[in-house]
Amino acid sequence: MAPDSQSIDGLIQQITTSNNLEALAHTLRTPGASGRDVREFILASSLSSGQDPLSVLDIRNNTLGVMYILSARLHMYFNAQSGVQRPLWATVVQFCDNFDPEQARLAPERMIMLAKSLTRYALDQGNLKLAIPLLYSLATRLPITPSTLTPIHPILLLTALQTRHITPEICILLVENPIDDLFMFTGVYSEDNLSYNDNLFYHYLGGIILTKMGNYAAALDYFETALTAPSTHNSPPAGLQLEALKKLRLVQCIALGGPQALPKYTSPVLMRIFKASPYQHLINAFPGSPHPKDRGEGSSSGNHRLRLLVNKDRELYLSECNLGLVDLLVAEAPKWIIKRLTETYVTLGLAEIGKYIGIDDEQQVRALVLNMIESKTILATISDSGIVTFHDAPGTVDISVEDIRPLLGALPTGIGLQKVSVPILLEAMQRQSAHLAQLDMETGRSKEFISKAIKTSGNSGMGGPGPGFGAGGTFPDEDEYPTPGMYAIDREDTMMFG
Amino acid sequence: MANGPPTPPPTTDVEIQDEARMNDTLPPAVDGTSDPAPEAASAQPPPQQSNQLQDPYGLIFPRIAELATQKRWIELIDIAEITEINANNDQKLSRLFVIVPLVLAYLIQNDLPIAKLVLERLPPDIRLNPLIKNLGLLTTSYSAGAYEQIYSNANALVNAVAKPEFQQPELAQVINIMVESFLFSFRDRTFLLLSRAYTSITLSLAEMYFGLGSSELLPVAARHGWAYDTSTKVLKPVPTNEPASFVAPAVSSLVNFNFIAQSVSQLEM
Repeated sequence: MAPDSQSIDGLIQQITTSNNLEALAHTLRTPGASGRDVREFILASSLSSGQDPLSVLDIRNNTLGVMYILSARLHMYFNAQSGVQRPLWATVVQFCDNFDPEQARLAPERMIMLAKSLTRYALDQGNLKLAIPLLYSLATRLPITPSTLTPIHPILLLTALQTRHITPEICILLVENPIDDLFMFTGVYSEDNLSYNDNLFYHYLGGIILTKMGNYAAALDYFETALTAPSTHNSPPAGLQLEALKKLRLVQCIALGGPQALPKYTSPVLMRIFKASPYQHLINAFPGSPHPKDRGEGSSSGNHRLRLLVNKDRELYLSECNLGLVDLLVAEAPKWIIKRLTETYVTLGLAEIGKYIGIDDEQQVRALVLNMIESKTILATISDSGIVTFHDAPGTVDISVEDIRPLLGALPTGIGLQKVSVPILLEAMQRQSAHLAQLDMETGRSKEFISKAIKTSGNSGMGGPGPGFGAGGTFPDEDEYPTPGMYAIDREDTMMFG
Repeated sequence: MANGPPTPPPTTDVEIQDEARMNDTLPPAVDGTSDPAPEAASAQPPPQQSNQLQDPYGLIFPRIAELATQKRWIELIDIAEITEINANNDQKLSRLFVIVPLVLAYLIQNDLPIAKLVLERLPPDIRLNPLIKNLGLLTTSYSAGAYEQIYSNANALVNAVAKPEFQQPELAQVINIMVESFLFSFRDRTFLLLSRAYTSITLSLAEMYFGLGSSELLPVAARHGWAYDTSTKVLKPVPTNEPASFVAPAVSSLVNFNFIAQSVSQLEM
């Protein structure tokens, strides 16, 4: 290592004069003979003239250098307390707003180091929420796309929830940029790398925030991601995944009327534990649940049973921080009873609906029905005499594109939505299927396919009756379902040899 | 950083009400006519002349007031949120200058979840403030769809700032403008909803939904084509959007038949 790298003056010199960023990154990263700790100390010191090195560096052009120095100083200040001069808060804010992402990506572990010190610094400044815009900027601009998960993402969400300060930008980030990539790098300190827990925390906390925002469709996606995150073979699932499962089930009842099937790769251990918990009984008692014996006839007794179950385990729900959701679930239950009524009745009076759901006050029933009409959960009209008429022709439902949009979550860019009626859709699908069948026929006729099929069937023996040949022949890919085209080939094949 | 899951703030209206009741050590100053003067004085944001330099809320308020008069709600929300997140000392009562317009702007935009979240950000002593309590009641009733209470709470808010004890006339003006805009957009939304939901509605019920007397309501209804039967006092709403008509498939049924037959035979194979 050149002797220059052993002093802060030398490093600053290199940072400001270097033309090759890769080389600079390498120089900064390798501590050389003196070792890592000394290098950190050097980075955190002032220039020989007593000046603050940050004052001679430009944030945008020397992002790499500034990043190293800032992260070293903050880390040492909060962890070692060795008399290191803390950078000004204003400098840190400026850095987070103006850093050059490309330079930053050459040494991402330093950025993570910086991010982890931010919350401490914000607390020092008097308010934890001050870190939120900084973390947001780092998390979204550091990776190449905002849909890439970094270790900074869970810190951002945790800070937002702890300070109860959820900003609109965070909500937009969660909805429009679901994670589809991971920001992998190998850091010098292994605790800065992206870990399994980062994925788990981010999606669990994201689900909580989305539930508070009322965006149940997206919340369900996030909880499901947290729940089904694969763990290493034979290791038990994380406790947080069980919590995610509980919240998932509760939100499924509130938003969709009942529990939905979980993906096949969900851990069976989790399912077992959940089935044994009081939550399972609660879910079963919910009107939309597919377990008829626990559900009751959907009469007011069913709602009563739900309340009894909630009261029985109230302490548990409270201690597990799910009481809010559980209470919401009980409040929403009548709506799903009404929804089931739409399948049986065409018209029903408000008073009768009230009898079904166990609410005597007609005004309350009216408000409930109006609420469901507003949220387009049901399609109905009310007359002045208090008769509700249910309509159920999907072709005439006036669902606008904007209503569907929240259900679909984030769409990839370039995909637009337009309103189309069911018959037109059906026609388009029929055309597609006909086209596909045509393609299939052509493939079946093509030369390569025939030659391949002959080769493989020829190897497994000749002669023999047709159907037996077709069924017993060894195909190179046995698990594929044979297409009609292939059977046709076999019969011809047999005739040639037979 | 804490290691346990964070305690979620109250998520349902019931919980918010419970918490409000628990924190309610002072009687609401807006209802009684005999307000003790010190209590009324402490209910308002402190005068702006002191600590103006360190008070970001007071500094940004003129801009907020300007945007409110111009009804530029989205910009108002932006500026308010930026001030909110960057303000260091958020225990000050002057925070009301920003919070109240912010929540009202979200209500005007029908962005209810985030309006509730904004109120949840507030520390307990600010929540005791009668102005915030009024705002909280309005938000709760809006969230519950309790129409009568929405109108009464909106009026209570306006009345609270109209009292001579309320010493912030600029804030009062902003609140008046915004509550009026809120009621306007809310009635608009209600109108669309009722057109969709009711085939016929009694006049008294309609008055409840709109918070208007029949003299104000009937002309508006007539303008939108709603028929009114004076003898039974029943209004007939006209649905404002035409439902999409059922389009018969243009393809001939024979083609359909062929297609279906073909698919079935393929399945049989």
